[in-house]
Amino acid sequence: MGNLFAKPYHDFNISRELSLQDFKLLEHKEARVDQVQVQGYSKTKDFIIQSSINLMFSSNSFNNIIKNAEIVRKNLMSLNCFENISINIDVSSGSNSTPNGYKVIFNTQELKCASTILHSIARDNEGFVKLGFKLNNLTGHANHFKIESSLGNSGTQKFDACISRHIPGSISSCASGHIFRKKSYWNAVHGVFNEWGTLFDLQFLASYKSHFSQNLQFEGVIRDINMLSKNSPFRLREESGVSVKSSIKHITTIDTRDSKVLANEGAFLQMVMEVAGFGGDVKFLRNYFTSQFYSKISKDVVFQGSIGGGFITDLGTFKKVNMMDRFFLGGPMTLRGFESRGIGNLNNNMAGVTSYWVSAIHIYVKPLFGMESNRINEAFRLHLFCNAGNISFFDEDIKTNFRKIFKDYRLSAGVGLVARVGNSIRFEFNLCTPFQYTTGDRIVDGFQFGVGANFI
Amino acid sequence: MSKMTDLQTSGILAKECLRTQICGEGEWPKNTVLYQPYETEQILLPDNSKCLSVKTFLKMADLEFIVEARENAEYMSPHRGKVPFIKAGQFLVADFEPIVNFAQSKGYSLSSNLDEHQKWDLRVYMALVNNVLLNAEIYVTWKHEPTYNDLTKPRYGSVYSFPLNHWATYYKRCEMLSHLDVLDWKKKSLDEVFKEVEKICESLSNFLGDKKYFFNEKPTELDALVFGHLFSIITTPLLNNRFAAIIRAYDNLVQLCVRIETEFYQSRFL
Amino acid sequence: MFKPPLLEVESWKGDWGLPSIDYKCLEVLAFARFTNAPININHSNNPFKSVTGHLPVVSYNKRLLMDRDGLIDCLDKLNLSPDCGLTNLQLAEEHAAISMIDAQLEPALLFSWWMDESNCLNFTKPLYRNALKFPFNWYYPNVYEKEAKHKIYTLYNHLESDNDIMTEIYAEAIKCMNSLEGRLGNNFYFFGSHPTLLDAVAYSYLGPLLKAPINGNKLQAHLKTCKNLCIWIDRITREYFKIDWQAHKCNEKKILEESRQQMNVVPWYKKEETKNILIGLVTMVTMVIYSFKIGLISVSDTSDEEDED
Repeated sequence: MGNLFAKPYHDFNISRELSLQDFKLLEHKEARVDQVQVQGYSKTKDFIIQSSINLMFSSNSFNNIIKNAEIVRKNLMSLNCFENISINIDVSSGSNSTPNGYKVIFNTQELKCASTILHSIARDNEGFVKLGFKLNNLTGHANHFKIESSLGNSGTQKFDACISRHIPGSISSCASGHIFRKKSYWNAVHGVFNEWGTLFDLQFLASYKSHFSQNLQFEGVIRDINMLSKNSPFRLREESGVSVKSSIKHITTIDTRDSKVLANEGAFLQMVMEVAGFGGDVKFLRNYFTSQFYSKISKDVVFQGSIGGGFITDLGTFKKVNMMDRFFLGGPMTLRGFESRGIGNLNNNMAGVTSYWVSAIHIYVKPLFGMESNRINEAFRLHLFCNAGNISFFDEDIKTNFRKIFKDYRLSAGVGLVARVGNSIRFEFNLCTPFQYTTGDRIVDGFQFGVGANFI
Repeated sequence: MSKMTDLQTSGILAKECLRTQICGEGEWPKNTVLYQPYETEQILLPDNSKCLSVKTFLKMADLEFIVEARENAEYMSPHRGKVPFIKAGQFLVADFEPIVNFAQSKGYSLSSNLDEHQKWDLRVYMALVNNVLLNAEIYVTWKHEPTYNDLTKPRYGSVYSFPLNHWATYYKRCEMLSHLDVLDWKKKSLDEVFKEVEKICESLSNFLGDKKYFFNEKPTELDALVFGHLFSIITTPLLNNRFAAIIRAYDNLVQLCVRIETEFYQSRFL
Repeated sequence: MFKPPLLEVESWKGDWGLPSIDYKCLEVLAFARFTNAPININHSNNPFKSVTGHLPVVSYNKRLLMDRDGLIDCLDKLNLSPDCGLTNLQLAEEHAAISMIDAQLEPALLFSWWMDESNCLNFTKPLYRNALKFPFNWYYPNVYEKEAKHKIYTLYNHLESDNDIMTEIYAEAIKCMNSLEGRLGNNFYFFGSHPTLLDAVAYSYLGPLLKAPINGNKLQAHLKTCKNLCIWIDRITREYFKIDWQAHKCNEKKILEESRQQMNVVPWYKKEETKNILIGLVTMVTMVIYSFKIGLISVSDTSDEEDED
């Protein structure tokens, strides 16, 4: 779900007079925050900001103050009301100052009331241009309204109107409602998917750990599958038509990576649980997860191991889960060496399955070997990868299921170049070879290009 | 010059054949399936007429097929919204006329022994039924407010769950109304529509005379088409029986329906 | 003295030997001529007065006749039906044939006039633009184009691409023309020696399709090979629209003579090469001026240095 974009990177404005040694000394010294000042805002209501900065007063050492200040800055930024926030930490002076007291000043710069949106994002192997406008902080309660439409290079069109609101409290949370219309294509089978829907999203950010977040979503959407050509597989044609899905989705994300695209260290785990069937005509339970683990082997070499998987259980009696809900595997960012949704024989009911797993091992090397970090090393990596994955249909018998999971699994490997654009878009240009595949798979033996935000 | 243009036009016809995929040679494929909406709870008058026409044609030509009802038949169709369609081998063919052409390309035709003038008659009367009777059925089903509210809406929405039944019906209605609008049928009153129906029945009745079928002894595509439409109009329960009554007034047309029914459907519709 | 009221028709002006450029007007005029109805034709260029934005506007006795049925009813009341003398069977056949022609030739005509990109830009729009008066001529052609496209797209909404629509429409139309050609044979008119409703309707679609000076249209090319239909169209024009026919013949002769005179005398300023060279020159000059402006080229380098020294 990440349509993320580059945010400016901020450093602390620690007073210049402090030398690094002083700073080290200070680090473990006992300290308390006497005063927090937030400057530069006029429209945002006080209590919204108050709830965000309460955390500052719980700090007990200088080190802690710095850490908390960064979290608060992130929380304030997550209100989407400010363009820029800088932090000043100073010894507090004045009549009611304590011996170890500090004063923290946040210099903020509010966003203008209305702004236009124009940027590019990438998702599911497709680049998008987003156009739209945004009304920021309508009443001062950190509530926003935006309308945007995005156009992808392979035809996907999306229109989205969103209203969101920050809810003050001890847990920082944000509620938003979307109305959207989306049209996407699956060119290999001449399929067109239309969606009209609403989405309500409740996001919780744990205030003490900035890398842990949860989303609770309700989605009601009307879907329309249209097969344009007579050459589309009849199995898929049979599923064309309209259907309604209304589902509740819970997303847990833990992200300790130091970069979203080219990380050096950290881990990432995202788990999605979706229950559909509150009204609407598809009923299912769907679980899937993605996890990534990074570790630095040496200064220039990073190891990444990833695994993902999911399964869907059909709870319906009347209508079957259709292809817009089932899983597809393959593509230049997931199971490399196969076309997008390229795994499974289309004519044999193996397109869109009820369970899958996919795993990957990468070894990244910085292109300018042995040099200090510079722009090229930041933005590019060479990588060696090995992918494995499989699709299968779950049924009642657990034993056979287990066997099915590993029967005829797909394997591919290769080398390539990874590039980072902004803080979320990943480009991959790979030379890959599928080693193990079955008939009906649409393989790519050679160069493959991919772009997106989600990858394995 | 004329040879050139002949080539050009035959090019268009060939292209059209290719597009509708009716160039396939050879036998009638086994396991041909005819897809249509559910007959008892879903199907509407215009679709029912077309389905019945196609089924009658296939029976008359003695072609094997099985009927399969799907709730999303009109979305599955290769030409969205057109039912019924058949899946013959790897070919998908929708609508009456293309199916007739498809069968013809396989060597099954009911009209091959007609002379030129009769072929012209066949063409024009088929066009008449397709253009006037079908539009009248669409008018009654989608435009006539009471029928729409009491019959069309519940039937069309019967296969969908809550928000979709309104949404899908609304969209279908908009589509149908704009179809009627461009043909100048939307602004007609119900009486005018029935007058059209009366006129077409008059024409058909005059043409039929007291022959057994439209072209004497053997049934043709026209008989299948006319039977499909008239029989569905007579048997479909509508709000009032005015539509059916117009047709019942033409005795020879009713006789034709009865004849075809007993001959090709025996006891099915008893 | 009692003078019977006239049928007032406001119609588009004619061209290419046809009494009107628009098929609907043509149909009304043909009806009227075939039945010898008392008619008063106004060559109007202002559809603004019409309710629908289209011509023809037909009125009888101050009452507007909206469509074909209205007109036929009106003529019937005047005892002027073009179909008198036909048997019931022939009437039925006529009814059916008209419905076929309407369904298959109208989309074909609309498609080749409005949806064929080059014809629409080079022929149809200028045609209506010339026929209309000033403020309207920028409005109505676009409206007509939109309406025609809407009609085609609505009727053929099950097909995806324009190309598919074209093949389907053209194939239907060609089949229709072939059967009309076969049906007409060597007859004078469809039902013997007198023109009927069917002739009027078929003429209204086929006339413009045959006569309009459009380029590279496959339907027109096919229609030209249907000898019987061509003769039949000319026969109707000659016998029932004598004035237009003669005017057209005169015009044709004049144009022929003019073109004979003007052959091989292309003034130099109209030649392609001259145009190209002019355009090239203008581009060059612009580029040079631009590069001066942004400082790519500067002339006074040396002199400047000397000054500084």
